[in-house]
Amino acid sequence: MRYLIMGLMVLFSVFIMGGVFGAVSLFGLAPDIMLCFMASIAIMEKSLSAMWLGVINGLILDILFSTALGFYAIPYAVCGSLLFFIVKRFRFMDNFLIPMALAAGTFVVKDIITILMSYLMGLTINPGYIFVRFTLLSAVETGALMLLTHILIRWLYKIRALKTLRYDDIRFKM
Amino acid sequence: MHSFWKNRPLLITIVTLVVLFILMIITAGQDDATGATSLIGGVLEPVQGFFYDTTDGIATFFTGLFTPNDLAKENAGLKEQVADLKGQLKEFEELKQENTRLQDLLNYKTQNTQFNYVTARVTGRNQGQWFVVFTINKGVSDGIRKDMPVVNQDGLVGRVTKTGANWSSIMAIIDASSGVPGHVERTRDNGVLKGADVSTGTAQLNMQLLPLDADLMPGDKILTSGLGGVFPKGLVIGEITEVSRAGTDNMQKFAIVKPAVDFLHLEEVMVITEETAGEASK
Repeated sequence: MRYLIMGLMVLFSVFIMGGVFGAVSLFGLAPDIMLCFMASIAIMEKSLSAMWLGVINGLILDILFSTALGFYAIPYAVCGSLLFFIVKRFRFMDNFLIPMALAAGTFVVKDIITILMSYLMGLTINPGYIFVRFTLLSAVETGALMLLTHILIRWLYKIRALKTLRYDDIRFKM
Repeated sequence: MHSFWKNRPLLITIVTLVVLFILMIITAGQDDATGATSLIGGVLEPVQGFFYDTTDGIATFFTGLFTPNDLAKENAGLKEQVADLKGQLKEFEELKQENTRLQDLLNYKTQNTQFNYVTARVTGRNQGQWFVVFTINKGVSDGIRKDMPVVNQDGLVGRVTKTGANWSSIMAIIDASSGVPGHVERTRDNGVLKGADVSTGTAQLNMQLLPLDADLMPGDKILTSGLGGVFPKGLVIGEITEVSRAGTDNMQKFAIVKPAVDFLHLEEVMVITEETAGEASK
């Protein structure tokens, strides 16, 4: 069940990001639903599962849209591990604000890594403009979307659909 | 140092990143999707196409709703329509639009008989500002190969960068890493059209490497020059909107070109699979 749901998350994310947001992104802005899933799973499990989820999602996006495998996967891998290391050190975790801030923050990190990789790949971009015009606003959108996805993911853990044997001590405050 | 080796998550992360970097370096020059990657793309393509079409339809509906003229028409129409006919009307309009688009493509085909084409439907587009790459529902099994030019009824769209069995990736000419040799139709001045900074959010091209004495003016039509061998000669690229100077000495000329193709509303495209005549008609 766990892997089925995670697989569905990846597929849903790819279709939403490649199909829906590809066709109707508002002013070029689009939240990153996979980062929301990853942040939520990292919070609930305090494991590297979020990173693997991101890597698989990134590789599929690479196959479809990138000129080299890794362009999307590497930022997701970094964000997944970053989420793990941050969440592991958090002693206090509320239900809304910190998860939203985490999702928005990792979106910013992901875009900074992507900007750096774009430079490495020789793309002509204006990093300052991208950061102000797209990254910050999309990060806010991602943070807002996190509110909904975190409720969903918490519920999935609560009904044990995403539960792992290793994390029996997950506490729910819903 | 000892604690570093004991930090298993950190080690896993580093190994994963190293593997991904190696993967990126290895695959950077490989554009044909084969084996597993082709299969994954093939499986995902139809579902993604469904999502793309559905959301594109919704977007078109809302665009019409918020455009004043269309709003009035829509309101008048809504008053006259009974609820069960609305669905049929919508379907009819979709078919009509599709028919018009396909008719345009057919006209283009009949006017440009020097090429053989494969018509394909756009099924997805990358999110974000990094590339302008989209996927289509035709691939190697339809005769599509890497580097084949892609057009629609308005002009040059891009080129095929990756192919799977039943899907392909197209890099649009407005992508920052794209370069198209072109010339001014009126003066035949040659240059190279590069995708402008994709982050600006506007689809435009920069025409560079122009001769110092190039005679350019806004409104000049830009066509492919045929140099380089990828794009055949005579395909419409766009129109000059601004002529400017660049370089440290301010002596180099460059032009900003508005592409002829509406990249925001691409639905069907044609891949040029073969050039039947020696030279383009234009």
